[in-house]
Amino acid sequence: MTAKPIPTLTGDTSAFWNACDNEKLTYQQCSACGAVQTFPRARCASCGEGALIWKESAGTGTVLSFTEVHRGPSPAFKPDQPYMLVILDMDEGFRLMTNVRNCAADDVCIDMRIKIGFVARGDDGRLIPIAEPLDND
Amino acid sequence: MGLHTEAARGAASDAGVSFGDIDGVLCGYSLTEPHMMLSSVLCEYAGLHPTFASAIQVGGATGAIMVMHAAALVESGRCRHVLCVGGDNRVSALSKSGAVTAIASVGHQQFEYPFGMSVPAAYGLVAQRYLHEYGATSEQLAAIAVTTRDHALRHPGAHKKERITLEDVANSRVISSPLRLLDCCLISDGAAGIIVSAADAAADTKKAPVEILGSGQGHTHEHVFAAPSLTKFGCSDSAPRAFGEAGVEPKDIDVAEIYDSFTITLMIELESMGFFEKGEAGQAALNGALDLGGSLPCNTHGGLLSYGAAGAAGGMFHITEGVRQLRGEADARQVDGAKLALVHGDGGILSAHGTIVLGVE
Repeated sequence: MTAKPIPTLTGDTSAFWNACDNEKLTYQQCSACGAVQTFPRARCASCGEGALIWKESAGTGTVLSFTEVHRGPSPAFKPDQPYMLVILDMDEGFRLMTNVRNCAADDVCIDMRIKIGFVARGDDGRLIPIAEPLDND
Repeated sequence: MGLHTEAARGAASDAGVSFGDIDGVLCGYSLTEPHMMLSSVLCEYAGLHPTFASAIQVGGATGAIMVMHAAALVESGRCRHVLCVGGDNRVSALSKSGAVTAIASVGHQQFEYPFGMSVPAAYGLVAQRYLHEYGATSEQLAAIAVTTRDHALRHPGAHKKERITLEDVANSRVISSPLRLLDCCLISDGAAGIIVSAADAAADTKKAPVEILGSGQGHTHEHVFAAPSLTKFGCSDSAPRAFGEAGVEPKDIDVAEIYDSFTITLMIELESMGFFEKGEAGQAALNGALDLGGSLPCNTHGGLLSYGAAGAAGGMFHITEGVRQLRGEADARQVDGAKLALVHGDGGILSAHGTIVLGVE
């Protein structure tokens, strides 16, 4: 059984994943044009400036779409099948793909409000984001 | 490369062009034989000695975009006859589960793949949102699968040969909701070859030429989580560009061969390219609009859903079928009097689009 994939950090993304390890969800915003980027890059994809600043997200957002995956991409995901995969519109304006916990599959719906938590992945216990219903508190 | 060479030989023979006459070679990507110089590998294997060669990789749009490259090469005078080839033996070399894993690499290594995104899962996300916004139903998606299978039954070379019903689609197992097994394309072995010739060079070939009247591309994203929209994609740009160049409108098209990696793919593309209003293509499919005698016969060979999906060749089969329809060579699946065809390919998760309008006198 192969293990589930672990993100391979790059110069663009290491700050994001290191923040996840401290249970903080971060995103990049361009200080020149104000655009929020969906994933970390060396430059702003809207205006091309390199003046990006890291901000901490409140970790809340809305389900843009969801799918219950019954056939994963590799044997590593088989024990979890079926599992929920979502694309989230985070409140600060960036998007995130992740899974869902603490919620019955039938209760996941478009426009559902969520908050981000973290789960350990891999031998080194790297933390990756996971969504759960906001009203569970 | 054996499959590629068979397809290249077949295309040359069909056109009445010798390998010595081919001065341009474009070749698609291969998952089973990945290489940084695939066009060189192909030319060496097949015994081709072109003056221009390159490999092109745009996922499922590779076929359409290769033909656009080839057209630019002959229009510029750089080449006279450009061979476009694509193929993959995904079933025999990768196995079906191996192919599913391999194509999942289209996902982002850090921001998609760790969460278990497969290609069907990505399309499941698109489908869920699209059905939500436009009120289309799973039954309407199923109608696309059933119609496409009916077309494949008229093609002796099709991968799938058993009739299916709406109930069969509804009862097939869920792959990634709302998509079921019969909403998903096949995994096949296959290859395709197309020769694009300069207008004056085409006069020397065996058959009456099919003309490229217009073409266009549209590119919005690669990764689905970074797509600007889950309901509006590059086909909304590529099709108007192609129609504009050709000077025709959607209603003029006699037959359409449009990328159908999933039923939702075809539904979105039919609606985005102006053939149907948003939310109406599925009902039209239920009413028979995409059948041979319908208002827009579509994927008359059986598409990726039922004819075959073999990597870059999958999207090329739409083009070879469009050519056969315009030549009147489509036998039992011929659309009577077809003069104008639209062919379309898309790569990734509706990420890169190429549309071509083909015509005959």
